Amino acid sequence: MHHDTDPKMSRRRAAAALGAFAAAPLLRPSAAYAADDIVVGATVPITGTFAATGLQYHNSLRLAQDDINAAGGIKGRKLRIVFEDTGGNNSTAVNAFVKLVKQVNPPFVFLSGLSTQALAMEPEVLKAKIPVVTAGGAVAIQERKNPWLFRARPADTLGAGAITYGVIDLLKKSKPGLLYAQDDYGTGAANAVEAMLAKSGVSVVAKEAFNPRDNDFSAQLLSLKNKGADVIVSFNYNRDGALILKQRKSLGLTMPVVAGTGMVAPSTLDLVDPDDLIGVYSTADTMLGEAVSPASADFVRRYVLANKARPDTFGTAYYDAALILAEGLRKVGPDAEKLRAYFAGVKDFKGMARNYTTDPATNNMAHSVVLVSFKPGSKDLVAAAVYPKA
Amino acid sequence: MKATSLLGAAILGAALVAALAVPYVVSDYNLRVTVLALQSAIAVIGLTIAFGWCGLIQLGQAAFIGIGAYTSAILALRFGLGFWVTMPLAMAASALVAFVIAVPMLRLRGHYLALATVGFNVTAEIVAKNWTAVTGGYDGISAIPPVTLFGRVIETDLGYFHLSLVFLIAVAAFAWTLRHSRFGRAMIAVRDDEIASGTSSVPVVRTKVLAFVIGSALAGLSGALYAHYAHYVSPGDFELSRSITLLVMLIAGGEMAIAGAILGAVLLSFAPEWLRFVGEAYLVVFGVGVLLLLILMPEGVVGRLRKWFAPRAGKVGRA
Amino acid sequence: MTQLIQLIVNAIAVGAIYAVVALSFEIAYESTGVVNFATGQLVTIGALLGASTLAYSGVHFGGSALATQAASYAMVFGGMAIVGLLFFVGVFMPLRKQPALTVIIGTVAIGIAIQNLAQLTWGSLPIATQSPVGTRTLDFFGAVVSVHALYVIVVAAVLIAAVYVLLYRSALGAQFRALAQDPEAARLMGIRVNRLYALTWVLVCALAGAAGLLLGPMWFIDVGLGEGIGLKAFAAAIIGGFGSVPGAIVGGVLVGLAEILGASYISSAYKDAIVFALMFLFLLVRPQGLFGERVADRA
Repeated sequence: MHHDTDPKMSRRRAAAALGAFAAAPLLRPSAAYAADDIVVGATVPITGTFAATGLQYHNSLRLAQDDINAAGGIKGRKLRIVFEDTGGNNSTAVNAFVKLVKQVNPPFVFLSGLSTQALAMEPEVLKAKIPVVTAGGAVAIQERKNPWLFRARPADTLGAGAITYGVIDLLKKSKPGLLYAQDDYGTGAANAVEAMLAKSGVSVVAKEAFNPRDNDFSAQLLSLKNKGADVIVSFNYNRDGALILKQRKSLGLTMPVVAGTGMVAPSTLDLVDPDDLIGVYSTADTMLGEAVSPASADFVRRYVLANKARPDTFGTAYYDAALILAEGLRKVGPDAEKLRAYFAGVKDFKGMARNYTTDPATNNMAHSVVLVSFKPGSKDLVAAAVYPKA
Repeated sequence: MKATSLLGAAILGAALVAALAVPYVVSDYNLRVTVLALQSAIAVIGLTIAFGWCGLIQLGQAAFIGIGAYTSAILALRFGLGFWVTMPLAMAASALVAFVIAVPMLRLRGHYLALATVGFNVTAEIVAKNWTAVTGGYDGISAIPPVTLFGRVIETDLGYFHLSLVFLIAVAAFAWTLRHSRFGRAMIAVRDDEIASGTSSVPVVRTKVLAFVIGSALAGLSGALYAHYAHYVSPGDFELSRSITLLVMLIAGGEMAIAGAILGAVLLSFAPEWLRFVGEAYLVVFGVGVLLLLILMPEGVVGRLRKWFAPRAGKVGRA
Repeated sequence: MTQLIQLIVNAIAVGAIYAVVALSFEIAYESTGVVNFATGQLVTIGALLGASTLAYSGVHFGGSALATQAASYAMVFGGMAIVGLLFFVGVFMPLRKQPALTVIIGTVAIGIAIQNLAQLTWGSLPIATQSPVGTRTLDFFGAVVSVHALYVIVVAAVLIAAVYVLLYRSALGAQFRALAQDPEAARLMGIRVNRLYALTWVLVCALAGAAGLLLGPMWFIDVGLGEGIGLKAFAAAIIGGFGSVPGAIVGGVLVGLAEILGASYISSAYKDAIVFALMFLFLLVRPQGLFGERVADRA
């Protein structure tokens, strides 16, 4: 045997090290926050395919935490948000939520804004009996009828209605082609729009799906063109949305696009040029900033200062949810059931994105969307219509 | 000989006692991690058989876990079958798919075989994500029913801990018997020198196919257990990165030993918890850590322990 | 018909990039015996370095857009050369006597580390970069073709030709090939083996980085860019045949065509599966690919 040290010693040392390594994580992890802090959870995609979207609410929740604590916290106690990474796939997301519940035991969790992840986590939410808020728009979320699950953004059905209005009444088109991400969000939204168009007597001429990680959409775009689509309805995320617009332009397609909210996210718009936006319309949750209130404009300004990027409506929905949570904590304390009742009874809460009122039938808290287009030659949003019409 | 087997039995006994004590000393979340580790260990033992003993480079083990998980879930939800029926069917499904691709694929060696298994894994992922009617697409399958035993529904982490432990012990015993059988010797012979064993009486192709099929069936079992424990499966369970993690578990623990598979599975399952303090740099540390492991201790923990404690106990090193 | 032309031009552009990446992968294997599963991440780094240096080189080379691009390319190649040397020292040398699977897992592990280091450095938001030849499109028999696609094809062709000349028409190339054939004999012949290995890894990373630079303007750069590319490049290497420069070209273009035409005419959802099915078929029927040497198992 040729070891540098006495073989018996190195064996024992190794065994001891192994033992210590094995034992350490099994014991309860030490808290990273003060004893009387109020700790809540947040499951956010920090790595993986949807990291860019997750970043928006990772940022806005941290800003919310700072703002709430700067304003005195919850009756003197500080609010602490513990983040868990949901990664890019549903199984990791479910695990992240379960981990939060078991390790932190929070009275409230901000759930991932990706509908596909939120839906995967929903059964665990029911089991855990804690109120959660998501910004996911998929129709399926309210269909679960989970009393603990609240939605802080408009459901995609509203967006579908706005898009239907845009296609038929605004653009006067009759042969829409659907292009959508092949997951809960895209498939659900596409089906909702198809049904709503049909109710108004318009049939979809083509439906093409894609993988959000795809790079080339020429097959789908050309197929829509070949089947005679006179308008493209698109449900996408940021990178794919930008690629779709660029490739639409380089393929020389001229029919307009009416898209879901992913198209107006800052991370999407940062990737395109103004001439990629010609003939492009989109739903947006709301026009952030001055259009809502001076407080909203101030929020936008502070967000940009803190994160060197503009906020989007996803992130802002979570910021507002945090404000509502803080109010709830002040009124009823860190009790899961009481917080649930509080969220169920929210009425006319003034947030940075809009006013919130909970609809008891669906637990949705936001009830309007805006149809926008772009000022020619720029990336500035111009409101074309509010839906539903007041 | 007698002394070592007595010692071996003593170690096993101690390990069993320690294992049974685990749920009472760990926190809630770590118990869940332990259950998942035990289930992964079953799949890693499959790799011990296929790669450690028979030398087949298998970078697609996660695909077979997924086949087992989805099969069990779909049969349970569509036909209302209980776990004790769906689980063997899940294993059979994994074994069948493995058999179909093994015969043509196992003629390849080295990096060609590696790439073929990668291709298979990636294709399986694509099918899982797009065959929405059957697999639920990107959104997967949820509300998978729990396991029922003697009329009682297993609901708690503790219950699944015991269930998974029992299965793991059974699988470990099976693997041990396999290793000490004629088939086990045939596998080692094929791995060490395929050409020479071909000219002797070892049926090379049959040995390789059987090792591959058994390894895949064990992955299917692991998948079925997971599906009914987590109540949810998604294409994320199939991913290539999962196959890589399983191989790292195998190598970290020691690719030749069943104990190595179990140890590796436990170590790697808890790695994210240990490395919590590095925050968002976790995967960087993990990647570099694995590289260091391969450089400094390629024979794995158990391999290294064997070298120290039983340096003359049979040549188990790699060619 | 015009659509077919559009699709084919795109497919050849994408295929050209796959060919460059396949070449990187093949050179690593042929010359050093390493099956480099970090190839995709190296492509990503090249693209990200390109995005960053484009931003900075504008400061130093103000005036001419061409000079800016050239400076950016030079900096990226410099960066990739450093990455190559780090790879040589950190991954290749320590693992070079290990069996195949250990090396594979080693490259996968370093790939994971690289990808996440990239995320920590560059963040998770996708980055848009400008092509050196702008965003103009040409009319090609009625089909709309982007100038960048043509630029990609030309640059890739030049790169591959340069590699071919290096490997088969230069003294250094002869040494590379001697090393690939038989490292021991090469050492006995007086070839400075370790220096050659280091150079090989520089070349491998430079090629991967170049592919990343070409891809960036097409697809927006984020840390996940290279993942899928790596796998397709492996398929291209198998189909074209290892150890063959023409093989890399044909393999790359075939994979590009299979992917893009397959998406259009067969199924856009399963287009990647079509590529891997093709790879699988080759592995079963003709593992040496179209142009490769007979498959001899490497120890």
